[in-house]
Amino acid sequence: MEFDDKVPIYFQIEQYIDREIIVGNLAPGAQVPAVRQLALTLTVNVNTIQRALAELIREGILVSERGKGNFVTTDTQVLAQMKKRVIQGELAGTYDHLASLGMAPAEMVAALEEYIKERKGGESHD
Amino acid sequence: MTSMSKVFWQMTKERVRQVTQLIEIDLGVIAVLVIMRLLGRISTDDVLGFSTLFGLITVMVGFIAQAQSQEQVWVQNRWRLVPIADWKLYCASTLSNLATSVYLWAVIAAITTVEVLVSGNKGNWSNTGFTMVASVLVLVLVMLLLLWTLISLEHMLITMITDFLPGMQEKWLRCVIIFASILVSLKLVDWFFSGLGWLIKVTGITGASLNSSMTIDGAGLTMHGTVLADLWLSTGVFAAAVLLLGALNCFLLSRWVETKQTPTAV
Amino acid sequence: MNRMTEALAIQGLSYRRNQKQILKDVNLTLPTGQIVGLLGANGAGKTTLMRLIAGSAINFRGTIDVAGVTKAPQRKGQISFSAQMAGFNPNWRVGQVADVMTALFPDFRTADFLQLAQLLDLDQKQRIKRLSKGNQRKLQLAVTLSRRAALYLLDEPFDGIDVMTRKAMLSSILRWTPEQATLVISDHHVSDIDQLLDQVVVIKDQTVVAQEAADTIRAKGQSIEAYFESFYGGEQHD
Repeated sequence: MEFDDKVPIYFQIEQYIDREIIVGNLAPGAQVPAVRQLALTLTVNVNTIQRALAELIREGILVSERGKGNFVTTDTQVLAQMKKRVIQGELAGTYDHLASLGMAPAEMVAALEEYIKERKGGESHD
Repeated sequence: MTSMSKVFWQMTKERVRQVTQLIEIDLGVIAVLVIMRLLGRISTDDVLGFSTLFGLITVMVGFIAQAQSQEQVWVQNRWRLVPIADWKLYCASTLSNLATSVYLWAVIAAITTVEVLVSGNKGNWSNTGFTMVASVLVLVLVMLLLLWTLISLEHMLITMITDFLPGMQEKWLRCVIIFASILVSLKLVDWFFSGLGWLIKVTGITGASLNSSMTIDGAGLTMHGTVLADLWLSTGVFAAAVLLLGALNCFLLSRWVETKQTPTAV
Repeated sequence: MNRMTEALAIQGLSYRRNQKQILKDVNLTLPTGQIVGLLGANGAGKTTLMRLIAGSAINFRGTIDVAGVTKAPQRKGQISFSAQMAGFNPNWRVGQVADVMTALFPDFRTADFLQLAQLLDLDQKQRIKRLSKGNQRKLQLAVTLSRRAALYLLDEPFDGIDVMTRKAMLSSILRWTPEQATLVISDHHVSDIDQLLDQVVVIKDQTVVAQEAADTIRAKGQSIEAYFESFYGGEQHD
């Protein structure tokens, strides 16, 4: 996996796992791969993985079961909040960019709607 | 921690393999000579003469090869990074060279003996007793050990000096160092024997008390009296030299001699 | 001495060679279970530092402890240095290398070596002298990781290695470094090893000028490469 070299890697791994949960690759209650396995898959240090997992456990997104491993929480509220946080993170970036172009919020909404319409339309012609 | 015997066996395995290749070449040469004899181009005496000569050459080349193997042990990572005390490494290498030399000599001697017997020469087996032959052999082995010890000392001094002085690129400077360290070693040996002579005089170990009358003075060793006892006295002297210089070598090795740098960035 | 505290403890290390001061007053402590990047320009002393730790270089002032062990012979048993193959007969085949290592190093695992050799695509029958530079580096890595040590020292392992091979080597490092062991990798191309590092140690002006956790550097929005280059004030270097 390619990483941004200016952001702590453990944080990027947290984001990666959040996304895996959102898109469904990691279902609620599913077991997260072992630390060493994750390290190999993502080509990062075991300590980095452990720090990322510790953070996710602290946030309640993952649950640690002694002797069994780490599991995605089944608490739908926690997961919903996480999804919201991730989406808002993306939106925040877009909002800041558009705002720096001088657009007002109403303009932004309209622009987004038009974009989606054009893109969907374009896709159906493929 | 690796044991000395493991190191000894690995060293001996490699050195014996190397020396065996030389023996094979020697046998090849002998085979050629025999064929030439059978074709009537040379006489039996020629075969014996040339093959003995080549046997000697093989022994000398073997000696040089072993000297190189030994030097490797002091300056190559593959040996110095082994988890073993440096003095054990030194002993293993020195004994390994001894073992390999004995192997080489035994094989060459056997080949020569076979040739002599096959050629029909009865040979000149003198009436020298077994004890005498064995004593001479022991003396020769100890002298060989001393030679290896001195060569080790050379290598170590050279490595130490070239590591210490700046920019040892010039080959001529290296030659000067080698020459100088040979002189130093010979002087050390000279001092050693003078010191031993003084010690013997002072403590009264005269020839009479040992059934020998060997004197050691500035001119070297002079032997009178029973040859056998003289042999053993000189063996003892050389053995003492081997032990003392060996201890010095071990000290230098563990304190000063570093390995060669491999060509990666510093 | 508590063996579990530090993988490496160096105090007041100074070293001269050929009438040149190469390292002066180096102090460095590394905990167990970490991957550490040793960064420095060409000629800064990275290799020398590794040689001193491993025992190739011995005429130094100061103290060096590895896993609590100070004396050279035992200390060597705690360290696996990538240069430990120097002096191997170039005619030997890859398979023979394992035999020789087993004979001389009690902690060498032939089974691990065979797996690593396969992972790194090394032919057991190839002679060392016939191996390309890249393959020789792979062999060095396989040998180094096949020993069970407390401290691994890799000196420029990715020198001249292509991208795909580097990935395989990174994977090998992650897979075969024991949990409690510490691994020190020197490289002057930081980006090669960037995402593996727990911390970085910078060598400059004959000593350790910085020791920092990788996450701390990145948390400030700086890449490790930029961090390293900041010590050279933007000078051009290799």
